[in-house]
Amino acid sequence: MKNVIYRSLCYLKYKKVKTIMFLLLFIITTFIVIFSGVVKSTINNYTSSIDNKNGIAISIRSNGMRKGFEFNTDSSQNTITTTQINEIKKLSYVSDITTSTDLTVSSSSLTALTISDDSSTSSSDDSSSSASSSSDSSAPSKDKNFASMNGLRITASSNLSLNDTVSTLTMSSGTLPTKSDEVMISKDLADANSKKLNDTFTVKVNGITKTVKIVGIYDYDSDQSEYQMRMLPQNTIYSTYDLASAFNASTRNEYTYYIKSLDDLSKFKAAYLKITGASSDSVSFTVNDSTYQQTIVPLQQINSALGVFKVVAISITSVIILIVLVITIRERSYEIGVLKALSERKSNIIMQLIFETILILVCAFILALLVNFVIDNSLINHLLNNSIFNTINEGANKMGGRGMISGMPGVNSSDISTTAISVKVVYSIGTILLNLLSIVVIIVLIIAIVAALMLRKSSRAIIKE
Amino acid sequence: MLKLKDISFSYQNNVEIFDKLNIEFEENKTYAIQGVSGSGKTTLLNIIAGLDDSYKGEIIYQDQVIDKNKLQDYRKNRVSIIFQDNNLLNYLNIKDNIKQGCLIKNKAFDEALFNEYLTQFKLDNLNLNSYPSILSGGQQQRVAIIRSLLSKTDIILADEPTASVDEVTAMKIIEELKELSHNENKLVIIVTHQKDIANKCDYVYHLQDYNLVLD
Repeated sequence: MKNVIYRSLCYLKYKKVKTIMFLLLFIITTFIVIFSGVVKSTINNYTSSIDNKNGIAISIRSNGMRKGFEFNTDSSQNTITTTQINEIKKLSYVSDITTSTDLTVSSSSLTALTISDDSSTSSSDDSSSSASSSSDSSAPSKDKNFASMNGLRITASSNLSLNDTVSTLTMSSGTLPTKSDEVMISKDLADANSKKLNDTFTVKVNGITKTVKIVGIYDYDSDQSEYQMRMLPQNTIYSTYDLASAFNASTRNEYTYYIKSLDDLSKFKAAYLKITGASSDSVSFTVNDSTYQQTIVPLQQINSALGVFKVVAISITSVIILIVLVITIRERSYEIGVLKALSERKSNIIMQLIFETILILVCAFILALLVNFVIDNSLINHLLNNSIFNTINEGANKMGGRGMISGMPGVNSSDISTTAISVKVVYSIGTILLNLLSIVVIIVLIIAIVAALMLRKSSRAIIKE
Repeated sequence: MLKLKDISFSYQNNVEIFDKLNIEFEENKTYAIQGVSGSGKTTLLNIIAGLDDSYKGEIIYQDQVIDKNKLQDYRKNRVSIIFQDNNLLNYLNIKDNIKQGCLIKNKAFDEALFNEYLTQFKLDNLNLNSYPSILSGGQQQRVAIIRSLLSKTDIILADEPTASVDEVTAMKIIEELKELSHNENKLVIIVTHQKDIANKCDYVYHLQDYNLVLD
């Protein structure tokens, strides 16, 4: 065996050009095999992480309620208790529940913006009666409603983020609030009150006063409709849900439940109705898996397209390798003949041919693996984002103007830029090794068959071939 | 030393080559086998070498019939073959090529004897690390002969060993092979179509009418 290995190494050294050609051919083949395997395991991993993390959002609203905008806080909508939420959260197919609440607040140290006659925003002179809760009044007038709209309010959300909850905002400075005493206010509000980052002010809700710290200042896109302008969105203070809890706020405007798969929807509906004791016609379930689909569909398309590419590419390179191997072995007939004449065992001759090829293959495999390690991360992320971007673009064109109506997750240009995903490349060692093994088996079979057929003849005949 | 008894051989298309061929070869002797093309010279050599087992009859080596299952052992331990060309592996250097004979036949490589043969065959001024491609046809044959000698087999078979070299070199090679058989106690069988080469050997046989006829 030592002699066989020695002869193999001598041959590879002597036939440098051929060895390098083989190396390149094998690098291409193994690269494709490894890459498609990595993409597959990466996509599978990412898909299941989306399944578990994001799931499919289900919004539930009481029927007959005015939906529209978030400032409508009718107490009859709040038929669900914290205990019930926790019970729902325990269901195995529910991945997450997010809640958000709008609270009307008053503040002695912060003055709300008001609308002046020329429709531009300015600081109000009247700071004492800046806001009041609409539920305080039994017969809210139009003006009163407006007062509540224009006053300070807190939007407390359990999953506050610039992307989802406040999609028309951009961060001016600071960070999103993460603690119960942290808030994010608009730049206009901060400027009007000469507030900076890390400044504190007090807020009063339900008779409870809290001191909060400004950790973030956001910019509001002022290019909005007149109606939205009249709502003075700059008066909105964003906080974590913990702040709302601190005020003993019992009003929750919106719940979003995330379930892992659409298949679980009917199970979820039944469980929800049972836990809350609501009748099936009193609530409606709105399923929104568009974000999920926008991410998953292109991933699945890439996966299947890559599967086809892999089959085609491997077929072509296999045929090339087969032809090259057959030609190479036949070219070496005289050497095989000489070895046979020297009474070398047939198995050793075949072993030498196999060893040479497998040695190149293993080197190629290691190199291809290194190349994969270096470029996979950027290549796969680029590939996925490109594809998802295109899909969303198409979706946005089809959806037309549905954009921002009644809080539906709309698709607009700002969404596309924020949908960029960053996947973690996953290497499945088992799959990679299995692929290597299958290539090895195929090559060994080809060599063994071609060489064995040749070795049936006499050494003289082989040499003369 | 080596006896072929009632050897018959037909090709797969039933063309008969030998019919009950009988011959006895002695050690210390050089034999030439001649014959027209297609008369079966190489086939006979393959049978003697144990490379072809589709014959009928018996090969008797040192009074023992060689079982067809043991042809591989017989070939490995007793026989060396020299072809007209392409005797050497082009990817091994000259020394490694010579060593292969011993390595494959599991015999110890005798460095002293190797150097002795190099001098004897006038190859001592060669760079042994170079590849066979730099050698002339005659030098290649000599390297192959040294390889056979070092693997210490009793029978040396040469298939047209001089076909690809010039006349002077051809004569030298035959002289060397003849000397070898006499001095080293070897049986040398040469297949050749060159009459002057054949005439240098101790015995000359002709393949005709499915049998061997002494000249």
